[in-house]
Amino acid sequence: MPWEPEPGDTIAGRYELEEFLGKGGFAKAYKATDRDTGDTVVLKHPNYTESQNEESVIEEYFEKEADSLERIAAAGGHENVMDLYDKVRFRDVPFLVVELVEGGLELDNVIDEHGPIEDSEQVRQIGIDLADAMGFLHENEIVYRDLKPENVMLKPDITPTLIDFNTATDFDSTGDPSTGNQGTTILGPFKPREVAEASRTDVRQGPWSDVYSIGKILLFLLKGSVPKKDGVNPHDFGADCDDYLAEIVERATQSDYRHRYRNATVLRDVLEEKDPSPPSTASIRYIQAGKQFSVEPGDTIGREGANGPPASITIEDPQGEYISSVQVQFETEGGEWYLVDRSLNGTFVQQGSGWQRVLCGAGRDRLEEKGEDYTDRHGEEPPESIRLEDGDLISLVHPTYGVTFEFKAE
Amino acid sequence: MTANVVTDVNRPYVPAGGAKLTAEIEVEPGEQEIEPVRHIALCIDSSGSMYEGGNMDRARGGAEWVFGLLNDDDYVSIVAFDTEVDVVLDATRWGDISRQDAVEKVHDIQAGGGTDMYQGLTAAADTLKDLPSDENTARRVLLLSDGKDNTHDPPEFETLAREIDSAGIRIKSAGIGEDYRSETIRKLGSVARGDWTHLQASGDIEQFFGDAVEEAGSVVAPDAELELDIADGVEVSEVYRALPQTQEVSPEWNANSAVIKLPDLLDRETQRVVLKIHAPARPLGEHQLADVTLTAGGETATTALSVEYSDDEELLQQHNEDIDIDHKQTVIQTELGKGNVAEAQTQIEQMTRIHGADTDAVQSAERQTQIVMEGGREEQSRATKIVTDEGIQK
Repeated sequence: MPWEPEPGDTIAGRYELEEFLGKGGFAKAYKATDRDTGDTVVLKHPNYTESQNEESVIEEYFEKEADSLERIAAAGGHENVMDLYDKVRFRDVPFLVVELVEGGLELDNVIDEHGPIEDSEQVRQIGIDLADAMGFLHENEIVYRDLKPENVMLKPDITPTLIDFNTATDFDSTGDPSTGNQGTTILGPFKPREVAEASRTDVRQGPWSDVYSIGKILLFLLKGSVPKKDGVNPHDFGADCDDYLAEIVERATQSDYRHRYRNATVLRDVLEEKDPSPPSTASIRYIQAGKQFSVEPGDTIGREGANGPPASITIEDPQGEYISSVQVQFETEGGEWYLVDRSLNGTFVQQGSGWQRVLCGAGRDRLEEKGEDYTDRHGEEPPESIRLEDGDLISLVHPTYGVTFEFKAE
Repeated sequence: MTANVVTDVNRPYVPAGGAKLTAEIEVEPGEQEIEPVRHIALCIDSSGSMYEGGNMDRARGGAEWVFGLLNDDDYVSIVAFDTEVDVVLDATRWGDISRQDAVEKVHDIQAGGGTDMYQGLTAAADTLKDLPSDENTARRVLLLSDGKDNTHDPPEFETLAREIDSAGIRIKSAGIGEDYRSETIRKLGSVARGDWTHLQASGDIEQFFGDAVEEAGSVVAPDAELELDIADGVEVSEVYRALPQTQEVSPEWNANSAVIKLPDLLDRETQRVVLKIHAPARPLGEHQLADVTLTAGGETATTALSVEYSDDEELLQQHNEDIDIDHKQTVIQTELGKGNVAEAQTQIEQMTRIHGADTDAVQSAERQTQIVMEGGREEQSRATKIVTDEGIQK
């Protein structure tokens, strides 16, 4: 039987356990004091004794959480995502040292204790924060997979924090993240059809899958319950919220992902604007393949079948694996369209006067490390993003690589 | 056929003198092609105590929640019971009433004194009985109560549940709080082939109603049953449903055939029945112990439960322990559902002797028993629905 810590124990000579905070199917959590810094933190360890799951399953999921949190920490963290401070092993039990969400309550407990949140403005604000956090996770190749009330803590100032990452994971190469490595599907009303039924549907998962879950969370906040049904309008369930919010929830939770908002960024924007109509769209034409795609702010282009979060538009790589899993992202600001590079090899944009290289910081660092040239044609450090104009050409990797798009603002 | 039926036994080879075996029958429904029309009767306890802790408000909210889930062709009725029974809304096609009118009806529910659940259930089932139904109809009474019916005991409710079930209506029963009679709630859900559950807080009411209505929408075939046509000398005993909820089943006997009633088949949701079967002495060779016929939605599928009688010591050693373990776990979970910790422990001792203390199943059963011992009604109810194969507990 693995060792079971108790309040009063000091873990790894540094963390003094205080009160027991709670337990789930995979982990138990204690409040603790970090002797070195005096800070209050949370220590999580596998729940060997009070879970009905097998020990190997518990350990696997505990490890998944550790991996995801390490990646988030490496990416600089996000205001609405729990921080990882340390990872220790003591008496052969692994511990994660994580942020204490001060005064936080899990969303389901908030609703249990205080009832549904009737103020549309508060629900909107929580939705904006969650959509922003989800967008951040996607950018860092983490898929949350299990957005539900128990996994979100709300601070007294109604700021949400994503806390549980034991089912979050990087995408496996089969492109079937909901089944993980064990073929386990976790069902629930917060999951869209393409995730819940991943093993028997051809519908691709993508950023729109998390849009669905956030939509359901918003209904949960308004009403305290959530049906499995899709396309839910809170007014039909007796919620007394603003019309714009009801319409956003209905659109976010559609069965057919093509009728939802395309990604978490678009959802954040419509919530910010209090306007359910989708934002302006542009289109790109894949010249070599003769294919046309519509583009909304936040949409991404990436390599088909890559390890990583699914891009909104996936392209078969003509020369192997030079195109990144997320190569570029489209954004708008002040009515203008921008292309943001997120790749390791860079992207080229032609604006009449010649090809301008665009390269993100990570890509630049990588090329520099490898001793390769990362500058643009003027011998200067390339920008990480560039404003797009009607008719611009976008070439992934290099202008001669064979994947070029023509951009059209609409 | 809308479903497959598969059988398995713990010992595929038995000696000529016979043996007692454990068997498992799995029913694997296919994908839903047509969404059924739902006939939903909400049967809500409106006794005085329901007004404590906000239960009545949440029950009203639960009814409104159901309205959000209904399709135009579905029917809904609402019956409130206390000392008196009030048919608040007779069965009405959802497309023929406005949400506003339905909500007003729900708000008309008045508080009363006692808990005449028997009459309440009878009236709720009556609202559905005369509606036209076929193999594409899912009929449900959703019962919510926090109290005891002091004029009717569990056996009377068992009889009533059987009558309601025979009208093609399944009961989903929920008790809330600590004062209801759990045996009654359990009997109603099990006998009328729905399920039973404990609700810990008033906030769980909407979810209970909502889940039941959405589940009814996933019915592939109502009125499913297994008929075991048993060979001479063969005996069947200790029959349990293992999935979707662990429940003890009393088969209906008719000469040499035993009928095991099943809950409605749901879209791709596997059902499992476990049982003991006594194989009598037979000459060496393959023998059929029972013909197994699944009838559901007006169609049938048949398979056989067979074993080979042998004197080959090596073959006789073959033992599929998983089948034994499934049966034992089902018995333990059913007992835990009743709060019979002592009986569960006796069963665990037996399981330990046979399979060893290190077996995952033994350890998991010990954990479940501990959880029920330290917990209350919620833990008991949860013990009967532990997901083992298809998922993990979060």
